[in-house]
Amino acid sequence: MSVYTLEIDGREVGARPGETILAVAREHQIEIPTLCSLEGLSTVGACRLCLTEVEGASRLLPACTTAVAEGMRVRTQSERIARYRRGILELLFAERNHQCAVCVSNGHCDLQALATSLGMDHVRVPYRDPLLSVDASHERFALDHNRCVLCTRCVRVCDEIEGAHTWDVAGRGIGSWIVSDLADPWGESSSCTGCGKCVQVCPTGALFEKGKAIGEMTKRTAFVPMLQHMRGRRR
Amino acid sequence: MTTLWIGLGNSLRRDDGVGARAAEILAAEGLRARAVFQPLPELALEIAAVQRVVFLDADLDDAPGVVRQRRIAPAADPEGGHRLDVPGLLALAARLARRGPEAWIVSIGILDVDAGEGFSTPVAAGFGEFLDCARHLAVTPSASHAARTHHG
Amino acid sequence: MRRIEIDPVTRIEGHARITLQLGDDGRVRDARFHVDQFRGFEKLAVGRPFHEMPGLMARTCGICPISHLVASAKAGDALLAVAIPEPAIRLRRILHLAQILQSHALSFFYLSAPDLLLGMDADPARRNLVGLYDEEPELVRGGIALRAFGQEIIARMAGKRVHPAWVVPGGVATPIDAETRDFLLAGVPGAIATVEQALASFRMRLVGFEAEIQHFANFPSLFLGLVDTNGELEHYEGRLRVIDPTGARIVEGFDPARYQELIAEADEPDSYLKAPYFRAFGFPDGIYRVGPLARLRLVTRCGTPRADAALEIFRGRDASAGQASFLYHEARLIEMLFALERIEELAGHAELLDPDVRAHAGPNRREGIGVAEAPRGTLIHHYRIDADGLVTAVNLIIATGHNALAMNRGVLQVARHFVDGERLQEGMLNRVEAVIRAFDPCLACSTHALGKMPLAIRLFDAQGRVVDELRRSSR
Repeated sequence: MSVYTLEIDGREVGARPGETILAVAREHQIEIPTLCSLEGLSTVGACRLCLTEVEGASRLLPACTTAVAEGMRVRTQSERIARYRRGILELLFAERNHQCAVCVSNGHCDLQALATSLGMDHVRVPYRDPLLSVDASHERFALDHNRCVLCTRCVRVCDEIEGAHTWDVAGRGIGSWIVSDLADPWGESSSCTGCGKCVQVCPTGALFEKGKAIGEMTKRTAFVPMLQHMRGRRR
Repeated sequence: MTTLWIGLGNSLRRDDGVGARAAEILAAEGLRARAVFQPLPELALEIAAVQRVVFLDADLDDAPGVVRQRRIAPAADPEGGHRLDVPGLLALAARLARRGPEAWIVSIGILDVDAGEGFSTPVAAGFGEFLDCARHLAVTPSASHAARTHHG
Repeated sequence: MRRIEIDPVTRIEGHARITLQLGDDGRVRDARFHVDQFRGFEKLAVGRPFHEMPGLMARTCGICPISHLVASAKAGDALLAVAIPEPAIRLRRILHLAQILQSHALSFFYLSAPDLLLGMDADPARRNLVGLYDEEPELVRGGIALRAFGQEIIARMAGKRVHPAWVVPGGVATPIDAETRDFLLAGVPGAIATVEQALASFRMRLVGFEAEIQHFANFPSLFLGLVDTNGELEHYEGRLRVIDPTGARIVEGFDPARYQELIAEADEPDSYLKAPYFRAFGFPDGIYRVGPLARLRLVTRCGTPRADAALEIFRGRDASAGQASFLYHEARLIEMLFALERIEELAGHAELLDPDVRAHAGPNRREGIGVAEAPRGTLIHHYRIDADGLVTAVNLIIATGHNALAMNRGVLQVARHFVDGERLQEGMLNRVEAVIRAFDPCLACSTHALGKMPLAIRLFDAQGRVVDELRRSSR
């Protein structure tokens, strides 16, 4: 098996062909922020927070979907990258209604943690303040569209791990939203198994267990790569 | 030989929170520092128990990023009920302690008090000096009166 | 006709103004208390899961978030249709009493004591906490420590935040530890000594306030509030009792969840404060008062020894003083005693640290009402939810709202007696504000600018021109 040699942030690293920049960086303890990516799920490159500079490329490339190449020179940190990442977060916060202080996931939210770690301390674009609903028709769980960032982790875990494909994205562009089955209330879904994996992988307070008060919703995602591994072995 | 730092401001209003943020940092360094929204009468009890109090505050009227320190005296005729201004608070503390602590204010000129966290560029640039200035006002056994003076 | 405007009313919680209409003879014809800010909390909660409500509703107010938290969580308990664990009730009670303690301490020592102990006509520059210190150092020191004690109890139990969300539908989020209990018990004796000293000091000076007792919102009205099953003082739960001006019980043992049968609400065109009235008597005859004075007039006894001893003295005077709202101040002191005695009793309970503090359930009812006696009076949270547990309607009746009609009438009474439109004097207008302060209204506002904002009193002529102006300096 051939091995590529490339450079990330000035460090020389080895990689297998077909690996992504993100995977190689993580193998070498180089931190790249991500939101839509989750170990054990397929990659969609939706959130763009993992943008990196690749020498020779005119635009920034997402680390999660860009495959390594021999002699590649990658920078994961720069003023330009930081500006882009903050800008992306500002747009996410402005797009829907993320009132952290009264959210079930306050203090345990990936989006909130990213804003803190990437220094996104205020939003310069106008908030859209859309009027969005909460689907609480499921007996145990609820979906609050106000807090959704459309990362599609729920869609992927339901399809790829649980195999139910209850969730999908409807609409286009800014009008996109997560739907269960044919945009039916979640509680009436005939495909949902009620396993709750989507709730656990959701990075924000969009999917949560009913009965949780403010700041009480914590999530666990370690099961995803384990399940993927076990299911892969059985096939 | 004790010093109390009191950082004033709202950390959700950008530069307004600069004093409170500085106090949080000093507290994390193990110093006796408190971050508050506004000078409350309850603080007088704590102020009365120290040798020196250093207020850290934002100043909308000063040039953004400019750090100043000055001595402040208790108000001669304080006003107010459940909220006092800093000289009023000192007047109360001075009475509680019979003789109040030596009081300083370290201020930094600010620019942006919009909703949000973090600071505008000039305040971020001046923040290090603001913190240093605050730290230098610690009472030490050897140099209890030799506080460093910035910008007059 | 001429008009005097007092804007803002100082040393109260929030922003309000008062207008006085003068006749040609310079006497006051009419007076109004206006609250110009609109909050809209009843609308913004619609569509939210009801488990979020306590944390959301606590944000109605930075002054008494705990009372909203408790009333909201109790409405949540009603939606769950569960009996919450006893240890959780004890913890909620302690937290709520700490809120009453710190709120009353603020009202009495910080806001009103300068008027009460230095005099209504004292030099405005000295009529404040610092000026008071020079006269009564130990009292001020104790008063500050008292409020700090209440605040610290809340911070230790519910987390060091302005807006804790520790109280949840079904109970509280976590039990407390032995260190917190020991802190509670250690602080009580000193706090009791302070309140008793303040009470003695206040009583000694009462003789100088005969005019204020006579004219500060002193009129016949109903009184409404919760009492416990023995008719004793109760802030956390209980049944509604209503008495008439003679003290006769006209409503007894009434389920607070049926409050709408008792109370109707009028909207006043010139204020965002809703004006509830006693339904059976109509508007505006159904005027009633709530809060510390009402509670002490309603109860058979307080139920703790020191508070009961103080209540006996209070009752002796109350009978002669009739319906005087001025006695709200003394009632607050007595309630502080009660709160401290009860906290000590509750904190000494053998099962205080029991970890079983929360009942879990889904929505089992579509409508839930939570009622508590907040520092300022009966606080009602009323929610409707859909089958999924999402809020569809919210009605809040806040304590200050119940007193809206009484405050208006009180302002008029004081203005008529003390204000001479021909010769405006600061002390006259201080009394107009002071009658409002007696009710300790909380207008839940975020624009506190006390001590900075100048108080302007303007006298308008019939054409709306300013003919006289009195300005209190802003330093």
